[in-house]
Amino acid sequence: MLSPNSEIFIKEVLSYVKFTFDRKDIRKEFEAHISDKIEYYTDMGYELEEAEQRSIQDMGDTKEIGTELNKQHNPVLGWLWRITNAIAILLFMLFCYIIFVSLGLFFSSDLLETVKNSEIVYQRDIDKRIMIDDVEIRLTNVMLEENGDLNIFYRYYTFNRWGNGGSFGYLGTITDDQGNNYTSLSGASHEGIITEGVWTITDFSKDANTVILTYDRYNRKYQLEIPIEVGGAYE
Amino acid sequence: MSRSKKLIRNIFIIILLSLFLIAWLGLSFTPLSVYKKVERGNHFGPSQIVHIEDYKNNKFILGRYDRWVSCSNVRRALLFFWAAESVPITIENDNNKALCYTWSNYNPMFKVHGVINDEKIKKVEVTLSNGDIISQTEFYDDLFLLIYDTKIKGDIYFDSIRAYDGESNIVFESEY
Amino acid sequence: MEIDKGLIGGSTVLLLLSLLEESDLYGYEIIRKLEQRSDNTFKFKEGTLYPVLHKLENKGYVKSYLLKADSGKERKYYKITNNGKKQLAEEKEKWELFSLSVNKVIGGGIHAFS
Repeated sequence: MLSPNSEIFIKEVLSYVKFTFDRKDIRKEFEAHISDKIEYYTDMGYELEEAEQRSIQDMGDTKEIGTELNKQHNPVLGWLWRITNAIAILLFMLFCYIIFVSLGLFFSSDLLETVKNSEIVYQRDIDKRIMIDDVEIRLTNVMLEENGDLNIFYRYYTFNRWGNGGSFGYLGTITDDQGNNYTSLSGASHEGIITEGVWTITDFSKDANTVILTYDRYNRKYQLEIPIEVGGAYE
Repeated sequence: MSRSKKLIRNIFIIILLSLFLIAWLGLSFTPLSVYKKVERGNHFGPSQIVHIEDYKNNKFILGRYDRWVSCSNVRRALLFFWAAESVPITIENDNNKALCYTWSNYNPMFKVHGVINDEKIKKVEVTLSNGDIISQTEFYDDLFLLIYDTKIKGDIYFDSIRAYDGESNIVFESEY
Repeated sequence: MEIDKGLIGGSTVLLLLSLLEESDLYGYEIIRKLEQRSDNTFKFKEGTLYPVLHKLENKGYVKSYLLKADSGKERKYYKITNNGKKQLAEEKEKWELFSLSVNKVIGGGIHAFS
């Protein structure tokens, strides 16, 4: 309140309220009330000073009001509420970030665009699946570049956070229908549940028409053949 | 909503989101559940656990799966949970050799583990690159595990291994 | 007859909740209404209203919101909740039982001596 006497009254009441964060709202409530009462008295004809004095008196005893008010603004509860608010908000922001990034990867990832660094000789969408333990790797696309790089794009979903990435860097032995052997590089981006990646096989033979992946490790086996029909079929 | 109801709601939200975060980070409540996930994620196993050794904040789990012997370690994370510290380090057993072993160095620990095929072997001794010798005479079935604390990061390597029989004759030795 | 009451006691909850059931009010309005309705029997130390209102809100019987008047003054209004309405019904029942019993005792005594 603008007048000093009302200010003294309110300050005294608030001094009993131990949880300081609630004081501002209580102050506003009392200020509004006192100003309404002052208006009531001035409407009756009282001078401002008299009206103010009467209004404050009508409010009651500061100690009585203050101590009762304090009972309703428990500082322990107040602090717990504030702290848990902050923690909950923090965790929620973290949660949103994780979801956002995961979805971002899900929707906007286009490895096909990022890998292209030379002329594409051959490209085809495929839908080959490898099942290993309980993860299904989906091979989605093959792309053969002018410089002999053969790229195989893949994707898999898993809730298991351990391993996977590393082990899928290892494709197995890579051969072709002509009997040549190859090694591969792997690039992938993982975001929790979703992983998108590409295996790049260098110097793939121009004469070969099929790439064969053979995996045999710890009693897990698979063999996959992917036809690469080059030689005339330029896309 | 009263403040106490808001508090309860907040606690509920915190628990829910925390569980989500824990799952997201791949943390588990027990070391063995992480261990199983690590094996599955690395497409190995499931192993039969032969021995678990506590070491600092880690647990080294020694197991066998088919003809392989593996050792992987899990560590405590965020006070109450467990996370994977390494992939399973495996060695394929060759029964024609008296002893098959493998070693790995992840600061600040260095370990050697393997399988003993020759019954005569009573003591396994490993010499490290800094001259220290570690040994073991009590095995876990036919598996052995040696752990060494490398206070200096990365400077310890495997030098050689020796296996002795009951009369201190060398039955097997190798340098890697 | 004036009963000078502090607002911390007895049938206060009943009084406040029944006023709020009729319409949403802010603190000053509540005091004025209590005076008017009771023909000035209930004249209160006005500041003592607020601890009670805050208690009602803590219990979930009322809910507060801010509203700006045309004059630009912002006031905190209180609104009764469903739980508040239930509580009001309970308080009314208690009050009726109470006043009935009091009347019985008083009335019964007179009859006995008539």
